[in-house]
Amino acid sequence: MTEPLSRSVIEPVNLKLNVSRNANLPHSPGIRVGDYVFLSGMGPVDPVTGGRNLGPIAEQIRQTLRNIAHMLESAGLGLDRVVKTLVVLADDRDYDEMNRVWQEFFPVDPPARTTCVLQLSNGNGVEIECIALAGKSPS
Amino acid sequence: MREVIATPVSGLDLRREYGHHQSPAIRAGGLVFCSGMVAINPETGEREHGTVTSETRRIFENVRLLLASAGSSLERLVQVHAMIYDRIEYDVLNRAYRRFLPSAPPARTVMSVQIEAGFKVMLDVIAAAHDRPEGTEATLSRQAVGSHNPTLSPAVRAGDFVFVSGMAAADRGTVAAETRQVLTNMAHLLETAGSSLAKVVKVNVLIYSMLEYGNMNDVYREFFPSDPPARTVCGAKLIGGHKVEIECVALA
Repeated sequence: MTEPLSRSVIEPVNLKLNVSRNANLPHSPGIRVGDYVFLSGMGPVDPVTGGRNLGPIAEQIRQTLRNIAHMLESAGLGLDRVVKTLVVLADDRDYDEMNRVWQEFFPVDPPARTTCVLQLSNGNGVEIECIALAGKSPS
Repeated sequence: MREVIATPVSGLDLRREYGHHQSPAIRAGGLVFCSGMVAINPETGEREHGTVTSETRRIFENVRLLLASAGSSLERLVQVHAMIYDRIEYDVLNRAYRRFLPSAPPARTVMSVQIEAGFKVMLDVIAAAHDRPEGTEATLSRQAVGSHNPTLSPAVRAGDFVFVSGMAAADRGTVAAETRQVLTNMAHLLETAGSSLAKVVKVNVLIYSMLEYGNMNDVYREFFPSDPPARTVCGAKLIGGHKVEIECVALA
């Protein structure tokens, strides 16, 4: 017989980034299941204040990707292990800017990605969800 | 192994009830991928339009039934795309949602999209099932697949699965023409990755208007003649004026 696949909650080391706890929302920041890590959609939360960083879109995207990197580090992984992302933009005119910033964070073999334009809350310009593969990349 | 999960009650089979070309759920690589679920009476298949609260409750009851027949449960949910018709009801969704997932809830992204048939809520979920059979260790390598693009890999092969980026047609056309071009390209890409359309477990279709659902569905069905993948279709604004964008997860 096979065993149930292991499932555990992943939380950020920096408590300011634990939006679901701080705002009492019904999601976990991340779930590790078997060899994969699934992260909830994340936004541009300021890691020092826990408030929103609603600056220019490029800075919002950088902040969001830094927060994703922090979440993955909290699970012992890096951005190089991301396999799939879902990017939600509030404004499709930000697509080219997003692509520019993206290459700063994913210089080689970037993850698979789907982008769409949806309403976002609280003035957020971006929200990013990702799936990563556990384990280390061969160096 | 890729297994179609039959619905425990006939009303939840939207392929039978409404011609949606999708399996209710597919189990593969230790995970259960469910098609997007809306508020349907599980016995009769009738639509139960209501409030965000009542639809959410009905959907969770149905997800529970479906996951049970796949050897999983609400407590084993991994990822949820919680789709609502308007972001203004975010807090209403959360209150109803929380009752079914009181502790260690799944990862979640809330998406405000156009939902089929005027529903207010749709849940698109992945849950944990059982471990892979012994002697079939997954590799933990991560490999980009497809033509080079500085901003995204067309697909990434990782562990048991191939994750395919949202694909759009190079030539703008009708929903039917774009769907055909995307799925033709997807078949090639999957073969490059050592997989195939027959190994696809989950498809997400983004369409510029749900009024064109039928035009997409008719072409889509030609590409998946039997045991179609689990699938979620929603209406959203797409980048670059495309009418259809399709992503998928396939067994490697």
